[in-house]
Amino acid sequence: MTNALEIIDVVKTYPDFKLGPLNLDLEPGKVLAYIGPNGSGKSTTMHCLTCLVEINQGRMKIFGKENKPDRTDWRFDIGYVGDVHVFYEKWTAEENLKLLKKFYPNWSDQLVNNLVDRFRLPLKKKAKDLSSGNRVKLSLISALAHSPKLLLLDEPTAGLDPVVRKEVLDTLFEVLEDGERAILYSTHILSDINRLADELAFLVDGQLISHHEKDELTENWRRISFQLEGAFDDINSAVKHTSDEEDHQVISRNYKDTLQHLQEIGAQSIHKTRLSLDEIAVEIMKEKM
Amino acid sequence: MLKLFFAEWGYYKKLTIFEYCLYLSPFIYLMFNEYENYVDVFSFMMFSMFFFFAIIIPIGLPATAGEKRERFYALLPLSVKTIGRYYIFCLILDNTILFILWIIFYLIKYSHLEPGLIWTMISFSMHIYIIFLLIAIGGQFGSYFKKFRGTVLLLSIAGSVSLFIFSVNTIKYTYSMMNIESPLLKTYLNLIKSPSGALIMSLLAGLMLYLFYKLYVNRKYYLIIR
Repeated sequence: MTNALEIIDVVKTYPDFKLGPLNLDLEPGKVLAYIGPNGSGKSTTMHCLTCLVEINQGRMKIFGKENKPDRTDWRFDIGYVGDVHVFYEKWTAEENLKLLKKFYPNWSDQLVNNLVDRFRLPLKKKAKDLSSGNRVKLSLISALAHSPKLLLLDEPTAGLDPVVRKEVLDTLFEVLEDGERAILYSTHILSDINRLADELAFLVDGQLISHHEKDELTENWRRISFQLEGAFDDINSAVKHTSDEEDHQVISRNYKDTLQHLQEIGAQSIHKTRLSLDEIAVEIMKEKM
Repeated sequence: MLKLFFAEWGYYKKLTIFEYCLYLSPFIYLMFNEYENYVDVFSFMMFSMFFFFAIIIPIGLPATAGEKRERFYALLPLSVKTIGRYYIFCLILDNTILFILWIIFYLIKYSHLEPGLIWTMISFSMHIYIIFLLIAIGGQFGSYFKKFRGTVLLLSIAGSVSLFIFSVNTIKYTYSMMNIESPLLKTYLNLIKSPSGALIMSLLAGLMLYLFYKLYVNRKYYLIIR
């Protein structure tokens, strides 16, 4: 099966920042949350993928087609919503969409109308007069209307107030929940994509530090509290350990391994609780920062 | 490419109309005024060109300021080469229309005086083309050498202005044909009056256009973020 996205040994260097070497795959129909703090290289990855910048090394493929700037075939397969929403500012939202329609044979007016209704986008307003939320909505409609097989969303809701952000995300997820598209969604707020994500990749300082199935993370990570007297060595698979005299608490990346170890060393009153994805994400990133 | 052209045409309708009014105004002015000699016409032509760019650039640049048009293009299913060709197409179209207007004007008003001067006319039209392309090339070089962007652009503008002054003065010499002592200048004057001179200048302008195209297309990528 051809991957929706293949990033092979990609390096992009700036004077003060280096992304990679980066290796990442995404299967068709899967949603990958690309998580990292600000400045970790998420947008740079997106810019490389859309050929907005030149990579120094490596290759990238979109549905098996190498994304070279002089080729256009791969561009029909992607929909991109970037960190900046660009339009013909003096044209209305409708005029901007009409222009884009001319370039895409797969453009669906029906889908556009459906999305415009759901997003309640004022089509007759000039792009320059649209609010931040409406600009995001217009970008999303532009990216979705030609039914791309891969959607690249680069913090699309950045800068929006919580109410608009929720409105945009709720509608977006309703549209995307059909599972027909592969999605690479970059964000530093995991709760934004929690609902849709199948996989999570964590990027810190330009390096991919972890790439897991969401279920694998939620199944394995636990907060474990226990009582134990006296000194003991490090606890297996624990990423964080806090204690108050004989009451201890650890965050474990593999709770079964941790529990076995705790039983071996005679820990008492062991309780385990699930962690939210946000908490897991924070712990994974803190470990490497 | 044509889709992009017509889209932009529609978007910049008002600016384009204004641009063509500017193109036509000196042309119309000259059509209805008698000039004693074609030298003044040539000088006027060059002056009006610079006047045109002096007006259109400050008006045109803010019209798209902050719109990050190249980022928009990057999202379209177009190759970088197509975008490059589109720019070249616009450049040729805009300037060629202007030159054709001037040549038609010349033929109507002055060809009966000295038909051979059509070659001088074409030569100098190509001078203007070369000047314009030099500035465009300077701008493109600026994107390669980001640290020296301002210097490169200033140098290309300075070079172009020098060429402009040189050309205007040469026309005056051509007309007066007096006190020409420089062999280089004499050769140059004979050249621009001949069909081969017009051809050489056209080839030079073509070469500049090709260089501009290669520089633009070889940028490969649409923008440099940092």
